Amino acid sequence: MNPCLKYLKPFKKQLILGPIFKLIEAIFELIIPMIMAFIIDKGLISDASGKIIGGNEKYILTMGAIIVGLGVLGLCSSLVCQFFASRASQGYGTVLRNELFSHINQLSFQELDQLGSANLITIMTADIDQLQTAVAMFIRLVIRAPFLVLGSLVMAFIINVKVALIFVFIIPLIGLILWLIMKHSAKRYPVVQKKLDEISKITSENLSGARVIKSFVKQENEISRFNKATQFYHDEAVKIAKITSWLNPLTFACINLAILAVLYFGAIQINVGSLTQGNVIALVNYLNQILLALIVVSNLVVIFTKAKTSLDRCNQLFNLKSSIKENPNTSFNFDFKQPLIEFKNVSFKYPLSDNEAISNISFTIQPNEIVGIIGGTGSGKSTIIQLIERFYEVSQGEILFYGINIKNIPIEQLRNQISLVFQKSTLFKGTLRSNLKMKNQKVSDQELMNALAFACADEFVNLYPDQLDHLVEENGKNFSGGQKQRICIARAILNPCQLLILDDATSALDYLTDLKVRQNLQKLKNKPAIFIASQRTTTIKDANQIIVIDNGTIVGIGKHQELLQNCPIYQEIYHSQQKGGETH
Amino acid sequence: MKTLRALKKYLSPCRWYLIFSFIFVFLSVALTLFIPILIGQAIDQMIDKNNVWFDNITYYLIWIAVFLVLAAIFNYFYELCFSKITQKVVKELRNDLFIKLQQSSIQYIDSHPHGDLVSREVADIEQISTGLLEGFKQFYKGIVTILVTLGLMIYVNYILAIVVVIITPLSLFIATFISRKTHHYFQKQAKLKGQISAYVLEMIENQKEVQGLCYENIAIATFKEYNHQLYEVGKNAQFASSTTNPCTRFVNGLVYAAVGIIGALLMLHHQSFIPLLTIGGLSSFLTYANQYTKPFNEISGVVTELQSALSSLKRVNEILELDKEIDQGNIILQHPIQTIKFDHVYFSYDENKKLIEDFTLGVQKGQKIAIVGPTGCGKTTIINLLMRFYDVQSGGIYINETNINEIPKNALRKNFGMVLQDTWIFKGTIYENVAYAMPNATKEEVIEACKKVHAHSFIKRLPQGYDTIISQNSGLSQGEKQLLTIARIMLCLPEVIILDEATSNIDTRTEIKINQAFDQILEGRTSFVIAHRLSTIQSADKILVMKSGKIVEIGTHDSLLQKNGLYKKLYYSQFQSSHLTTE
Repeated sequence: MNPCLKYLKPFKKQLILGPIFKLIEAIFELIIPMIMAFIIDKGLISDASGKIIGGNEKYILTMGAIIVGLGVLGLCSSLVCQFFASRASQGYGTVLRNELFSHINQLSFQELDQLGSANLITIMTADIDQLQTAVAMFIRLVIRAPFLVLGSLVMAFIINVKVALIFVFIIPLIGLILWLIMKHSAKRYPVVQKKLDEISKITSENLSGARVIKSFVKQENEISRFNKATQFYHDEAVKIAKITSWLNPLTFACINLAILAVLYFGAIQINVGSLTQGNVIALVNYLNQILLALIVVSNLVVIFTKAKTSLDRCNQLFNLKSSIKENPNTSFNFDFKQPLIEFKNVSFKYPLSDNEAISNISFTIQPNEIVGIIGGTGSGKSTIIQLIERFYEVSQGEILFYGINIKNIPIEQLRNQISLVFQKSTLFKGTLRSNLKMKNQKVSDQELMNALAFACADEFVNLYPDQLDHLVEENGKNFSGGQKQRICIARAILNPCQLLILDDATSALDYLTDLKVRQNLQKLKNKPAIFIASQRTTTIKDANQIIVIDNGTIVGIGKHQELLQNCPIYQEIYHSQQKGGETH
Repeated sequence: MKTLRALKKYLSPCRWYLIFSFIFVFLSVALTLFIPILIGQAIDQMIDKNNVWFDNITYYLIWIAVFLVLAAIFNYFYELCFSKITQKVVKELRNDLFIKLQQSSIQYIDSHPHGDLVSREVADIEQISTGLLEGFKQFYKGIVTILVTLGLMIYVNYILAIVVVIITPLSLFIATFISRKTHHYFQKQAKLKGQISAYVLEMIENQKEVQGLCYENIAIATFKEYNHQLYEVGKNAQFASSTTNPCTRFVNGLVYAAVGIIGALLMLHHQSFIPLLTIGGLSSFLTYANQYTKPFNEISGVVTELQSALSSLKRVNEILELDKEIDQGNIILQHPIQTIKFDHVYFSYDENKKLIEDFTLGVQKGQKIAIVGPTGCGKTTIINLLMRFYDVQSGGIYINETNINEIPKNALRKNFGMVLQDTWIFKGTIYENVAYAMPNATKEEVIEACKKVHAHSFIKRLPQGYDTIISQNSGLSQGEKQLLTIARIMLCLPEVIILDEATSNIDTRTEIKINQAFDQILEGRTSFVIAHRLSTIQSADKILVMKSGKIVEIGTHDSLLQKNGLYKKLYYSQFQSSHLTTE
């Protein structure tokens, strides 16, 4: 299967016609030295000592006009080819980008985590650019360059078979030189790239640790570490240069040796009368043409090798199918007597990990109730939340939504019932309004302002002269962490949902604001159940039930007071935050 | 031009390489270009059937062989010399840039996106190396080729030379014409490409958010819209730029034809004032016509590369021209540090936004000073000023009665040990990371320090123990990384310890462990502790409560609670739950 190549189909016309036009130009290019030979041999008559004694002016001018005419025709067909090439390559890039972007959006995090966002972005930008270039080069050069090599060879045979044998010998020789040099340098490029990565790594390490380095006064140390890295890079780069510097001199020497041979054997052939002076000039011209074309071929090989890697990466992405599948055939009726959410012996292991992130988790969330979940960093709180949203598929057990396994509910329908705010929830480039309306597009400005007030975000939004039209930069970087969290909460409650999940979503707020936001959430009209993950006992203290999780397993469920009595870990967490508080 | 001058400094140590490469390229080009003349002369010796002068031909062929071998060798040395120059310049440029970054102030580093600085160090210098230096190499060779060819053409036949000289620049003219006419397409294309990458970056990095908001379809539609715009611009940009090559080739074809026709006509209507042209001469001229036009095409081909290299050089220069951090102090600090005094200090990052105003504080040896207050009130700024990451705008900070501005920065900073909220781990072994401040510490000392801060037990469990290679994202938890940075301080134990929100990213049960580690290093030392969890600072000798750059309350935990002010409010809000009213 080669999904990427499939998208070349709409450009079949350009892919076939483009090279044909280029071929026409190449044919003209080949004919021109031949015509020049005619001018010299037939247009001019020389005496025995080589002195010109006469000629046919009309013939010379006619032939000259033909050369110019062929040039014009060549220019036209080459422009047509370039036109096709630009349409096809840009068009292909566009189609590929659209398809890949849609595809990425359909993948689940089981796949996305493995790929990593840096990787995906490289594919979306650099790799597609590479493929685009390859398509353009295919149309422009892939026929032309080899054709010029072969064409020159054929022309040489037409002129004189014996002398043409020199061509047969020299073309593979130059090919071999190009191949050897490329092979040896290509081996070293990854090494250089690695050294460059090292340089970039040290630089960014130094920027992020600037304070630490300055406070330990280790600048000299870092400089010498960096100097070592640049020295390595320098050495590797020079090693490559030592190889690639042979490319020009060697190919140049080969072609000129061939010219030497053509002159020598050409002279013999002229002496016996089977070759003319003009022919020898044409042969020399063809040899020079071959050299140029072969260098183009070697560049093409580089471009296509790179494109192959890009193609493989794109294909790999296309072939990746979401492991979370919709089940379109099942019909279901929610049983509203059942709990809103029920975890039944759920275990989950992240794709690349050896250990279970959570094991054997069972609990329920009833409609309209508040459930807290508490545990240290890495205890599995966020994993549970992401399983409810079906970002990942459970490894064992099942999650029920009003009695229906969430695997049987269309994903969009499920996610529309749930509003989720992460600790690191973010805003997107646009305006405040466009951000707030992301999940629910059908809300009035008044509702937006109400939601902001609910989330205690009105206090700073009201200060903006442009209010809801206030611009938001990428990742909301013109907002502080606390401001972002409040806007994200507003965005979440604008969607009338059954379940509101706050995953440490008020961590950047001070205690007072945090409290006020939580109080407001309980006044929401649609009365969603609220599921709060937190590290602070104060945040979840009054929940209808609190789930205590440690190392991926539930170590206690109950109300605050109950847990204080029978759950040692909860006690520990509680006391670690109360230290000193109880003495007063 | 002004930008280019910066390179001079880096090129002048390579003086000899430059001189030699000039000699090599001249020899190589001259020899290469002389070969067509020899070929032409050889061709002139093969006139017709039974009219071929083999002795003369052999003579020319031997010379051709000698010339081509020498030309190839000189060419190799030229390429090698230039690569050496390029790599040397690149290395020195990178090193200098790095040194500049080390010497620049924290202010500069804070106010510039790190990604951008890294890309100047890596991508921009790479661009300079390929664009500018390689471009220069082409240019250098191109100019020599043009001049030598011109000389030889005039030597062979000046009339044909004039024909070539007149027609050839046409290709250069066409190339500049096209690039000028299409420049705006490229600008638009670059802008759109930037927009698309930014959009992809934002959507992919926040994919959980996108899927949680069921925003995929809108995102795809928006992306397609951007993408369509890129297609419209891109196809025009690509077509326009790809017309350059056929057009210049067409001009070259014209030169070739003109030389052929005019040359033939000249031979036909030979006049005494015109130098004699032979068929071999015409042949060498046809080769020259090709040779002569090639550098023009190559130079016009590297123009775009050259342009982007120049803008890269400009970006690199911006850093190279940075001023060093101001550091004029020369007073040697007397040990031990008895007092630290802030005297009516004023400071703000942004002229329009006042921050620290009239801040005064005295600290005695051994005191533990805690600073609390809402985000953005200036807690960390106080530390920034004390460490001289930033300098006070008025007032002064004194250590043992010496203004810290008069102490060399490095000497000043050595007295402080900092533990920050964001842990800094570099790629290296655990041992190297802990021994960062004291590279010659023995393994035993490192283990001892780690034991004291309770980091030994988790390190022991790692696959290679103290030799495990770690980096910022290598699977250690926040708490574990923080313990390592504390061990780092434990090992060198400076006189004053600063903890800046050191446990903010860590859950409270782990925090207890880390606090035990802190007790080890704070023991008997002067310290500044910034925390938003108030439970950790109750034992402080002085608690400063700050709000918008000013100290609003000062005292011990007990005295502040009695005051019934902001501290009390902050303190109790920690334990409050939703039943209680807040006001």
